[in-house]
Amino acid sequence: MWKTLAGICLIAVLMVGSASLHQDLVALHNTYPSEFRSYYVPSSAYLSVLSLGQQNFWADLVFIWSIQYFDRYAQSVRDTYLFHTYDVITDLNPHFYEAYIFGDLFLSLDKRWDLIYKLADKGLEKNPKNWLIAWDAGTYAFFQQKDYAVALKYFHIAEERNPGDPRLKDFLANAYKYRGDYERSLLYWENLKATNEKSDTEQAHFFTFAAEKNIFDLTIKIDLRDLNAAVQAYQKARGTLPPTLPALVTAGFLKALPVDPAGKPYLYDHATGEVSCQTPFKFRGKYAQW
Amino acid sequence: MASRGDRSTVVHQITALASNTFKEATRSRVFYILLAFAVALLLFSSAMGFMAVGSIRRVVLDMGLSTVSYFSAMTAIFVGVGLIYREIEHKTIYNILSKPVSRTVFLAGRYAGLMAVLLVNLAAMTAVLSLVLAFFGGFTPRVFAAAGYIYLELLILTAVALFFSSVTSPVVSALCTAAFYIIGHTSSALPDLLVPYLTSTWERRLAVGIYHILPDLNLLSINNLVSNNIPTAHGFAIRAVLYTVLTVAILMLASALCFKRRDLV
Amino acid sequence: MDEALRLKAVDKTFRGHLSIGSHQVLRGVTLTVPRGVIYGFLGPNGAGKTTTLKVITGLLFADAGEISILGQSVEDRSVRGRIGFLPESPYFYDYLSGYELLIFMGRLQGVPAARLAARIPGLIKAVGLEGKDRLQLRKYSKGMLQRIGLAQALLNDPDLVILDEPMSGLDPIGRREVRDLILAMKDQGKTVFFSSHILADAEMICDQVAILVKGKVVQEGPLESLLSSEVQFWDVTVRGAAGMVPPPGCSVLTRLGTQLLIRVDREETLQDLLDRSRAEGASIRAVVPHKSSLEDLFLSHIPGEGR
Repeated sequence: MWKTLAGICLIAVLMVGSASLHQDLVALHNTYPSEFRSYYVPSSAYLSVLSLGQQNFWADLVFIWSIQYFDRYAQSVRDTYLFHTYDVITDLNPHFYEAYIFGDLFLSLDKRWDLIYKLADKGLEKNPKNWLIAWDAGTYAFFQQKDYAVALKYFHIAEERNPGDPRLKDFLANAYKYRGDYERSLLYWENLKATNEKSDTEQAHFFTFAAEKNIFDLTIKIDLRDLNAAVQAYQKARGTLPPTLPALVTAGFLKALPVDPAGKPYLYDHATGEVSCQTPFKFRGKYAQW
Repeated sequence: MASRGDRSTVVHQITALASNTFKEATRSRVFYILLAFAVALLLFSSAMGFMAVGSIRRVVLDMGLSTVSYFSAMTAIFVGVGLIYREIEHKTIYNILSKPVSRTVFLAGRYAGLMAVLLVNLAAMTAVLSLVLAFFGGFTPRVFAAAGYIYLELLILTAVALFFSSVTSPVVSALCTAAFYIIGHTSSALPDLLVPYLTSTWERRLAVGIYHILPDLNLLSINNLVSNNIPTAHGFAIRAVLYTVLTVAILMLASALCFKRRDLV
Repeated sequence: MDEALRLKAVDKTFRGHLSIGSHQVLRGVTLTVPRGVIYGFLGPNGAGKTTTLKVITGLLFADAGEISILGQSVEDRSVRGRIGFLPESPYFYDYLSGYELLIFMGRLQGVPAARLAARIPGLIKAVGLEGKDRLQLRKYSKGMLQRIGLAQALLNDPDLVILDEPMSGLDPIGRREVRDLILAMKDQGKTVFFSSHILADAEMICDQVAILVKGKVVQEGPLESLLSSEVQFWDVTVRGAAGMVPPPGCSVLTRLGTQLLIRVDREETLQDLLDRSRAEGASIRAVVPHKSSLEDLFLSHIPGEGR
């Protein structure tokens, strides 16, 4: 019996030694530059064959591996392999929705907009019913890249695939607004208001509220724009600034004189030709950057 | 006494051989070890699921179905390669073939026994997988359909193991059957990877022809479809079953031919 | 038909790998086993006895010759439903019990379940395994395995029973039990064909024998006609004839004090010796005649071993 006990103790001691050596080896390994650690994923054609028919499973494996490690790699590694990795994952499983989303997220950290849209286009092509990928790509264009033409393209795709979703209409309206296309934006806000004001859910209330505020501000903006344009036209034609705003109507440069949505007339400074609104905008401060 | 061509006798003989094979296989240690590993992996798949942000259910389903596929294939190979060889090695075959038992009936009986064992094995693994899935709220009845198609693949794989077992030793049989499994799952590389590199038309036709003769076991699996919620195509089920039956028939005939006049020294 | 088994010019060659080193095991084996006899198939190790039995039971395929079993060709698989076979050193599935093994073998024979259930208890009793039939075969001794093997050979009430070395590895009690079983089979009208290299047992129970040496049957026939009924020699034990000179033709085997053991091989020499002994006043303690034995016959066919 003592022999057995001695044997077990010996094994325990050896295991402790082995564990500490293991730690040392790991520490040594960590001193290597991060480029050294393996990050290359073979092309999807070979992985697909290697998976022996279980492509989805291997897509999951590569995905889990990638989201553990990709934030730690050096920039040069990410430049070369980040897109490739998610390309491989989505080749193995083209319907792997999370891969597209996370791939785009990582790519956005590197501001690789072109690759974001390349991955998103692939996802949209392989998944004709999916609208989330389009929405996701659009949000990068809208919030980060601030390229509203691209954002509109993706939001439209999303809306085609998921018509009637008020969140998408909201995004579209905002994108048009930021691009300066006030009329179209207004159309979407009015549609949103019309479809949501009868409903009693919290979401409906939110959209009605947002729509009303936007309609209010947009109307002012459109009016101000039109008024300014008329003033410029008058000046160009007559050589002087118009004396008053109604003068623009009588002179034929405006069809009718608008009033602001609160019912108050617009203010006109005859000396500078500046048109302004006496009712404050509903959106103020940083929310009024359009 | 046994009269020639008596159908009920043949049925009795096959069931006797099959139930004996069943008892023998369920006493094999390899069988239980593989089953234990499979169950462990299925439970571990839930840990893997947590690591995949946002898609726990799908990763558990993927990993679960893959584990069931891989492990039941391994069991089919490991237990199947000894099917005929062990009988010859242990000389128990002398007691059987000196009776009015046709050699083909003997092969069929051993095959049926192993398929019964694999059915129980598969059912157990599928039950564990269903429990794990239910725990994550991701259970779908299509898991049973996926298991059914896995069973079709096992039918073919066991027939291959049986064939090799009747001609050679377990080690060589295992290697050859494993090679068949790999070829069966990678033959789709022929049209996808090789054909684009081939220049002349007859080369391409030859490659595609070879591909159609080789078995493509990927065609029988619906694991990827189930995890992506894609329904199986109309008419797939009947064609898959027919393909399996034909392949098994070819293999059994080959086994019977090789075994018919073999001297049992 | 009155022949249980007939082999005619049966050849069998085992081919080595790539046709190198092929080895002819059976060279024109010819023998006939009449119905209802106990037939001993004898020969030294390596003569080809087991190969012959395997060819008869369809485990091997002969290269040439005819084999007919109970009037049917060996190629006809159904004939195996009328024979019983016990292979050499039988090995069975050790996780089965004796009873389960018999059920399994019976179903392979095509014996209907009801008849099987009726026969098995009787068979178990006949082979002396009463009470042990529910034990797992892994727990059986060699003798018990041999006996369960005999039981499974008799499941289908065969007309011809073929046994390969049925008494090998058994102790004397076991050997006697097997001998008794074989005699009982003959009483039931079965023909028993068994191979052995234990000549004493064969001599005790066989009606006919064949001797196989290097793949050829060198002698075949009823035992009585093979063994000469003539006395070969006498061993005479004489006491108190210290000074006696034995007549010519005697050989003195041992001398122990005044006791002599003398071997004579002719009857006249025996009479001469007896007269002379009585004349000397010696007493005759024993006169033991020796007839030819199967062992003699056997050894006479082995080159270099004959007397």
